[in-house]
Amino acid sequence: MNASGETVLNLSEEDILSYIKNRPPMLMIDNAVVKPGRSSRSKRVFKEDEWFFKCHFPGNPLVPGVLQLEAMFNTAALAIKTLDGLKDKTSNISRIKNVSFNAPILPSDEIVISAEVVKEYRHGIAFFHAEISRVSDDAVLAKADFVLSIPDDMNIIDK
Amino acid sequence: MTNREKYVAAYVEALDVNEGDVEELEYQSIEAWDSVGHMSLIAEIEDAFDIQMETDDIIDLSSFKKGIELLKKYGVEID
Repeated sequence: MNASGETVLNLSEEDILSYIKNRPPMLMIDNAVVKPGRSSRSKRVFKEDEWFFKCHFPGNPLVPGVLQLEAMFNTAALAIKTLDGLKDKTSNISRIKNVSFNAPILPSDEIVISAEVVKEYRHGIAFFHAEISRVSDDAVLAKADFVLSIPDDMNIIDK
Repeated sequence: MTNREKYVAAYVEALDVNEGDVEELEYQSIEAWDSVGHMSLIAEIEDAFDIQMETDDIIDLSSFKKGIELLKKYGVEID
């Protein structure tokens, strides 16, 4: 718990793997600090030999936007999957809007991914705003709003 | 804001539709009103009227018009 009495979880990669089903190389975060139901903040350092730099793009390596989104989704999932009873349930991303990629992410960049719950989890869904920023200069590199859903908690209607 | 304006705004926000298109909406009549859209709509309506809907009513809210009828149970009258 922090000074405000909130539960705060410091998660290693091993801990993260127990909460979300992504596995390397599609796990896009290294560690995270999570306030269950409220927010999650994770980190990732992109090594020069990451698999996607070889093909995206030869001679001009950039982190693909789709993987930046995946990093936001991984981070957001932790804020919900750490709530009681949700650890083993499958989560999906069901809506995405207001996506922007403001600047490229390059080999050796260290990024912070922040995901804030903007509408609390209920009826099987939560609304998120997420941002990626670069550690070296705090520049915001990407943003997105999205809905995370847990189909097992929406089972009162068709999934 | 009147109750009708709040109710219409919930559909506009949850389903990304125009105000003028909400009256005839039914569950799954548009792509956005799928299961996730439905739960988004319920959350918007609950927030708009500061209520918590019962499971049976969440299932029964199958159209814009049906929702008006259901909300009476929660003391929400929509003209």
